[in-house]
Amino acid sequence: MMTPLADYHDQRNAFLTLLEPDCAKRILLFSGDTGTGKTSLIMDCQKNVCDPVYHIPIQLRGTVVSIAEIFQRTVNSLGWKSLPNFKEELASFGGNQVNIDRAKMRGSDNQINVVLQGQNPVDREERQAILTNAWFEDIRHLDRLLLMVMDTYEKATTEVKDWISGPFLTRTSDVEKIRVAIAGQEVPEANTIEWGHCCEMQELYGVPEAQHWLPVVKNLGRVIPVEHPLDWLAGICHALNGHPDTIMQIIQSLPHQQ
Amino acid sequence: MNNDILNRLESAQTDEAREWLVMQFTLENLAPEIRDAVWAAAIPHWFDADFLTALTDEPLSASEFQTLTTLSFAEEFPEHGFNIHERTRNLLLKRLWQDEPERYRELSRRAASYCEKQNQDDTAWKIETVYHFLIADPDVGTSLLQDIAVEWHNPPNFAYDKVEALAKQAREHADVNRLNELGIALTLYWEAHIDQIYSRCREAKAKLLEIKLSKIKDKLLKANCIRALGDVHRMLDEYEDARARYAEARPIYSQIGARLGEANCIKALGDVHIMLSEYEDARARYAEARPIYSQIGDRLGEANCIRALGDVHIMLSEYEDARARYAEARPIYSQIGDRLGEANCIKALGDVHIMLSEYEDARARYAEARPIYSQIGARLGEANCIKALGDVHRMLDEYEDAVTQYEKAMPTYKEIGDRYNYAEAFAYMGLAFKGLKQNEQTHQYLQQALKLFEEIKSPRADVVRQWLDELNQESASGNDTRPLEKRFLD
Repeated sequence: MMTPLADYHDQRNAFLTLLEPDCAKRILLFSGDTGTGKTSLIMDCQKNVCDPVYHIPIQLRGTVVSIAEIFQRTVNSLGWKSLPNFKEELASFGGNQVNIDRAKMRGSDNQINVVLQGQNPVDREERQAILTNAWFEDIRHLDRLLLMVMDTYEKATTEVKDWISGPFLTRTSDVEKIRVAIAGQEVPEANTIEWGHCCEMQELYGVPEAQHWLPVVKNLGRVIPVEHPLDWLAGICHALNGHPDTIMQIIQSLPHQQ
Repeated sequence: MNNDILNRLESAQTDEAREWLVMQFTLENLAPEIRDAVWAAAIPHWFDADFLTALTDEPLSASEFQTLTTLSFAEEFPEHGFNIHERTRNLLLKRLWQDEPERYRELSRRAASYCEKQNQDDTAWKIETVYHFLIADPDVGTSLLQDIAVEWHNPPNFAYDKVEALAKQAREHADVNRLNELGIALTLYWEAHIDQIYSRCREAKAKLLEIKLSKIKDKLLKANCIRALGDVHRMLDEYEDARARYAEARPIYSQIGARLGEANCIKALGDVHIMLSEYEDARARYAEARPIYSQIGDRLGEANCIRALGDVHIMLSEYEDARARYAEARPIYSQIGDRLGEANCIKALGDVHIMLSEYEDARARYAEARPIYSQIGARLGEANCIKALGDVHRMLDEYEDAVTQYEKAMPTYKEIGDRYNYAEAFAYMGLAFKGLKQNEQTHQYLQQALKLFEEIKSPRADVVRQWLDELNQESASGNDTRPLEKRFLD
């Protein structure tokens, strides 16, 4: 559910800064333990994204989200016309024999996956590098900003993590038209000379202050039926270490306002 | 109500206890149908109305489903529906397994049954099916885990990301002791294998050592685990340990008639001998493995053995024999369509020609290998050929042509991140400029090569440093204008 967000003003402001045309730190990392509200924060932030920004959210948990899948989503959003170099490089690999279930090949939609599942892991890594370069060359010439928001980074496979934390973010630091926000219990290591200078890190520790939760209680139409609601809420926040997840469960169990 | 929950929270001793109190409090305040649905919804990694109906005794109404999905711990999961938030889910599953394991198993059975009817070409459904079968029917689950991991891992798939995702899901069960011994062993084995692929050798070793081999009845799996440990030891330069593991695995493979495993062990022993410079022993092992590969029709294994024999000959400076082996392996790679193997053989033949100072023949081989590498998109192989052509030019004192070739190879090395060859190309550029008597350029390129080799901590840095010293001495004394490399080799 889209729950109202408590506090995290600094983090929300950092996201707004990311969208500014002259933003120097094009990479924003949100890091925090499970249940600290990262996904809620990311979803709340994305409400502020509007035209003319290209916006591509990518959820890295659950299914196997591969590099090919990430590229495919950008093609779906931007269209092939915006990615001529990428398309050309992809086509240059098109003559190679790849043994896959032919029933799954439906035009260019699966071509990225076909090309990146090379017969040899060395081939695949080289092709990733070539396609990544071509893709960024195209992004450099986009007519508007591209925002990519990736959630649950810790669930990504090693291949995807290596790619994101390596070639992808390195080139992001070089290309003004792209902005990247990544959230997770684990995030790419920002202490790197390749893109660390271009990165803003925001840690999420929870929301321990009761006054930040009062608006949420009100927003949800609930009431705290005790004499000193703020004190009671402060006791809850303290007992639960400011953990948004569990505090929200308590709030949702409160009686409705009459 | 409110003071009671606060008092209970304040009295609880641990964070987990507090979280469970909150969960209980939440569940108590839900209608029974929704409460049951929460337990059911926690079983899979995602759910929609249909999936949930398959799990619950009674289907939820539309409004009940909506109530469930608006709970604070239910999240939207794009393209899948919804899921219970990880933290809450783990809490619920832990309690369910602890307090009502049969109910857990029954829900898993229903989930497995639902999942296996979904599109099994979809990786997510396939993995989810295995995940539930590991609890619903551990024999089926472990069998699926092994079969699917092998299928995804092996050529032509090389789908390591899928294997990793599968192992991760199994790990979820393993971490809270929901798997049997075989399930745990398979999880560790495949996790270690993925670690190995991504050069996380210490992690791989730790996982393989965690496997309780004595509890594994499946002899093939046991042998595979021991051999994998041998592979990891080898990657960590622990050659005696590697040797011991291969020697331990080999008779198990032999006992169960797993000839491929046996051949792989023998070849691996040969590879260990090579690393320990025991070339005659290496030769003996490759010669022993080769007919086994041949008998079982594993032509790739056979070709690899023959090529390895060629490498042994190179080490023993038996260049004509090396040539013969590479020439023998080449058509086999060609016949099985292993173009990379074929190109590697042709290039190796070129390298032999270089060793024998047959530079025109070397040139011809590199020129032959290069388009094959190009056609299969093996840009590293192509760049290596171009660099080798540069070497040929340099050996023939065709320094300007050498510079041209090195300049062509360098962008590829940089693009694909091959820092060693990139550094080497700089070094050889330096040598080529030395041949052209352009000392400033020579210094520049050798300095850059030194910097790059130092960054990757390669022993080649010492060689380049020595070249630079010799250059400086030469500048000071005005003596010896022979090419640096030749002087160094002398």
